[in-house]
Formats: sequence, C-alpha cells, structure tokens
Amino acid sequence: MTTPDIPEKEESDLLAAEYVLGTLPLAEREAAATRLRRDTHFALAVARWETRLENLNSGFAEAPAPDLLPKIEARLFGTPAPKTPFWKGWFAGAAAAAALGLAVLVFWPPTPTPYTPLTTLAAEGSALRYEVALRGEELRVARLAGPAAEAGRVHELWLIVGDAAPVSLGLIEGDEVTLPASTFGAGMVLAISLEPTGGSPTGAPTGPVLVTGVIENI
Amino acid sequence: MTEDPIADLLIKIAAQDRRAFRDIYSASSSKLMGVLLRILGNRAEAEDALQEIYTRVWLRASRFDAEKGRGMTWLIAIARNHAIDRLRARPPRAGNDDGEEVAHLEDGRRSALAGLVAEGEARRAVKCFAELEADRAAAVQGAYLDGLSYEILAQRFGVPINTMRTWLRRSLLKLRECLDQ
Repeated sequence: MTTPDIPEKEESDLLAAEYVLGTLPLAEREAAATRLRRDTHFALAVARWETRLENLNSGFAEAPAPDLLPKIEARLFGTPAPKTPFWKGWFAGAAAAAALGLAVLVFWPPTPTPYTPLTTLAAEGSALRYEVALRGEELRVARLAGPAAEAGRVHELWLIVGDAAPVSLGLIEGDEVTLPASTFGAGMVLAISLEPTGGSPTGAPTGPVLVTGVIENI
Repeated sequence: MTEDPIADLLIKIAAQDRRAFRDIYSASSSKLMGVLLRILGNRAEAEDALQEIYTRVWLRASRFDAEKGRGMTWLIAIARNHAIDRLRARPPRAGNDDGEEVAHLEDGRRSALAGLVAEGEARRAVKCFAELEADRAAAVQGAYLDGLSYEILAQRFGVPINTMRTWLRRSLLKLRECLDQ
C-alpha cells in the first residue's frame, strides 16, 4: 500500500515496522516474512524496529509456563515420540526408505569414501533419490538418482521434528548441500519439495513433497 | 560474554549446548507464556505454541546476532511472530470476543505504560509515545501487545481500514523520528 504524503523510500522501512507490529493481513505478512529471509537490508530494518519497540515488551505480564521441556527435548533430540507424528500419513514409503537407508548403513563396507550414508530420501513410484550421509561434523544431502528440478523450479530441503511445522534448510541449487551435523538428531525427518526458483514464498512447503526419509541414527 | 544473560545462552545454544537450552527455558518461558496467552487468549493453544517456539529457538539460535539486539527481544519477537501468524491464519471473526479484546486493550495501555515508567532507560520511549495522540498510541500498543489487525483496529476506532493504516503508519514514522534521536 502507498500512503499519501509518505515518500516511496519510506515504504520499505514502514513495511518492516508493520511486520514487527503485526498488523499486516495474512498475504502481506507472508510476503514480508519471505522478504525477511532473503533481503538483508529488510532484515536489518526489522531488527531495528524490534529494538525500537522493545520497551512495549514490559506490557506482557509473566505467566507460569508448564514444564514442556521433556516434550520439546524429545521432539528435538530424538526420544521416541509417544504418538504417531502427522508426517507418517504423508508418505507410507518413508519408513521403507528409512529401513533401506539403515540397511545401507549397516552393511556399508569400510572404504576410503569419507561419507557414511545415513538414510535415503525416496518415495514410492519416483525415480528421485537423495542420499543423506555423514562425515565428521558435516551432513551431506546429495541427489543420487532422478532428475534435477526443471527450469524455473528448485528442490527445497525441509526438516520436520515431531509434530512441528517443517523448517526450511535451504535450496538444493546444485546436486547437493552440506549442513552442520549437529542440527540433526535421531527420529528427525527430511523432505524435499518442488518450489519456484528462489524457494517457497511462504516459508512452508508449497509444491509437491517429492521424497522423504527418516534419520534413524546419528 | 555480553552484558545480556539471555544473549549468552543463545550463543551457547547455537553451539548445541543442551544445558544452555534448559537454562533459557527456565529463564524465559514464563515471559513467553505471558506473550502467548495475551495474544492467543487460549491456554491450550499457547502451550502448543510454546513448544513450537522453543523448537525454533534451538534450530535458529545461530541466526541470533548480539550486535543487533538483546536476547530477550529476539525471543519475544519469535513468540509474537508465531502467535500473530496463528491469529492471522484463523478464519475471520474467530478471534476472542470483542469484550475480551477491549479489556486487553485497556489493560495493555495501562500496564505497558506502567512498565515503561518503571524502567529508567525507557524514559525516552514514554516521551515518544506521549507525543502521539492518545488514541493512536493506544492503537500501536494494542497492535503490539494484543496482535490486533488493521481490520480489528479499524472496527474498534470506527474508521475505514485504509484510514487506520495511514494513522498507524504516520504514528510509526513519528515514533521512529523521536526514538532515533
């Protein structure tokens, strides 16, 4: 929106302010959240507004919080969750893929290859396969089989922990990405979705989920 | 080390320190629970949101930059953003009933200003909010503390949405000018 009397160059900073204030309608809010991840100037403007308005935080009274740490830690650090996580419904093939990944791990002969495969991201009826492998503190997700994304699209990698919403781990612009292994724990799910170039505009997977797999052990 | 204990914990969490993660939960969960209850108005949803937020804190701690702001400000921003995302995703008019929101708004005005007065370092913020017309300061605070959208603020103040947005944008520019001095 353009407000009369407000110069064009202020628009970006005002949008940052409105994002921090929280007043934007859903679509504009999602667009601002996407820009926040990609535009470092905008991210800095948002951080400056968070600091400008931080004194209002004293208006939030404290309220006793239940001890949810055991649940949060179970979700993050891989203690088996008591109930079936929602993603199990997505792809029945994920468990089979994970079992395959585990079998590969168990029977992988000691070789000079520095990466140890942990699991395979796959889906029934799809040729696409990504291998998840570990070397020291590095975790590599690399395309082993199947086509790369067509022009105008990109593969985006997601981490799903328990019942939490998927968190983007970034785009796979070449054939592989390398991430710090310490981010991952047993029981976490990795998924790859097909997104427009530049990645999901909403911060959640918008395209089809192509392949998934579970990290059983790390 | 910094002068900011929450920032110190976030830096340790970014290095995968699980003990620091427990410490930050103890040090901040009641504040974040207050934020969530205030904005969401529903304990079950607030508890669900709290789990989601601390999951994000663990996964995103490496993005915290102590040069750019205080640790608690960063945590509250995550909590507010998540709570407001949930509010905006609700079907229209499925929010709290109006009476409750009015009570929050009034309460928010009082307690926010009381809080501001209590902190010597925040004197300028009090002065800057005082320079705004009273209803516009209340609108900014209602948006910030209760997650009120432009639509709800416009209904509350009996003006069209675009007018409300223009008001708030002008108020934000005035605040910026005053606070950045």
